[in-house]
Amino acid sequence: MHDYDNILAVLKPKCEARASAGLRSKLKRGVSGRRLLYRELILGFGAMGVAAALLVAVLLPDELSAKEVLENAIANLRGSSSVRLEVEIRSRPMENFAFISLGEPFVSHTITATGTDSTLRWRVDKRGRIACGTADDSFTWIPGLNIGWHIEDSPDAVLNFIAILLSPNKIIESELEQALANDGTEYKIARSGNEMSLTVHAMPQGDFSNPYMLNSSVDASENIRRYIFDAKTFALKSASVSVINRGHETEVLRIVDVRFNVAVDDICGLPPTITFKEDPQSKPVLAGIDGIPPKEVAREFLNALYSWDKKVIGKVIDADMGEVFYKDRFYRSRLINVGEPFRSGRDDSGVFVPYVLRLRNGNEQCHNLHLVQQRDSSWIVSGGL
Amino acid sequence: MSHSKTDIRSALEAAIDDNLDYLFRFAFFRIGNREDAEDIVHNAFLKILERPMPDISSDGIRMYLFKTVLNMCRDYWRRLSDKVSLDGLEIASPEAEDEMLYGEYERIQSLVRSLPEKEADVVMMRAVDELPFVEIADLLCIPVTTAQYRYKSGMDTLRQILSTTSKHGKDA
Repeated sequence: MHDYDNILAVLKPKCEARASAGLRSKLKRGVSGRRLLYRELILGFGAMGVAAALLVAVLLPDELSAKEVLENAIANLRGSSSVRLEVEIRSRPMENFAFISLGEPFVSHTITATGTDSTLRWRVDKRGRIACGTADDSFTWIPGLNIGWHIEDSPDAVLNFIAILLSPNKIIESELEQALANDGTEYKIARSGNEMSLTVHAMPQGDFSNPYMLNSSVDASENIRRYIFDAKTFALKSASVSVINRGHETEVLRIVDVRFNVAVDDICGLPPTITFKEDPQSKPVLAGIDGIPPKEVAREFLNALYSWDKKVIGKVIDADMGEVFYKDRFYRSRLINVGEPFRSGRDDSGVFVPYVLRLRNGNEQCHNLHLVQQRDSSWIVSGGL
Repeated sequence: MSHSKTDIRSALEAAIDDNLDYLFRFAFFRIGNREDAEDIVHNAFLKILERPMPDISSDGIRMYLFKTVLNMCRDYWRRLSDKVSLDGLEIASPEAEDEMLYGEYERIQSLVRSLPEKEADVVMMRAVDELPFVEIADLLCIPVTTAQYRYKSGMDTLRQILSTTSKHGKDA
């Protein structure tokens, strides 16, 4: 078959056909789930992955086909270059962006974004914590503590549910994509006068046989997401998210203002006074503890707090962070008890280990140490202190 | 046999690293539209997450993905050939950087379009996608010898077409 060389040369494409970075990144996110990163300090507990099952109810008015809805939404996206949203979320100013709590008051968030996919630039500011980045690179920092992290990942990993608001004109598309990937989601589009509504009723994503993480984020709760669009332009007009807890609906997110095509100036500017640390899970920088089960990892770490044994502590948490956040509280703490590890939510790589510590002031701290497994299978501490 | 989510995710992550560009090229040169080709590849990966995979070896996943993409490309043309669903469909004009790619799609399609469909399939898979005959046979559910025969037949036809074109070109 070698005498076809000339024809093969003619048939061979003269240029490379490569998948876009956007597709690669979307697939990586979809396959690995929204990676859980250094949770308690950086991101929070609400991240989610992709479920295996598919259950989607798409209800459309007669005059509107699914294809038309999506095409119109995508077409509208091309017409808008930037957006600024004022959003209120039941959270805490310094907490990670995934964190919600039904009992907290609303905290104002300013969300600014320009471009889309590979040209996306974004910033979310809730005063106590700020984040900014591109489609595949993110920074988050706490101005009051002068600390920050660099995370080589998409905004989903840092912002969790809020990430969908960076491209308000892609909400329909993104929500449909999520509905296809998640269990038990109902997806409904209805038209009324000049407005079109999209309602998504989603069940908590993950295994909550232990309900510890239930309702800790939008994804980890049964929730109803309501969006109102202009029926002609498909521009987002308002949105809200409510969590359903024991049959009672509580609004946890609401958009109070949306402005398109706003002037955007250097939204990815980073404060020069902050040294950004690499996020240990997106770019492993910790040695971790390997070769022993998570319960023993927790015991080894918690015992090391008494003498503040840097050799052990530095393996599982960032040494500088430990000094700033934990040393004052946990130095001379004695470990009283370690319980059996459990999982809760949608975190395949992590476990929670219950423990009781007696602090040096005599108080006891009962909490669940959150351990996550790095790619080399070693364990590090991600939260629960 | 069931596999843990972690196993499947690791296997899929490896498949993305190893095969994504090949799968995209495979889809693109069959439908000539970047956005739709990327959607097809994306959906092929999602399908693996939706159903149990008996074989999550790198070869098993690779062949599954190619088969799924091939079927989706066929479905794509089937849908487009339906006049009703074609109404109002507009294919976006390519970005500048993709123009050359679209040119190549047109050029290659103009050649293989002259072949019977079964031969065109094999010729595309061998010459454009650079798949071995064993994989082509697997994808098309035919014996390897049949794949080789169709390839030979298709290439002979193309040789004839090209030599005629070349001759006419010289005459003109």
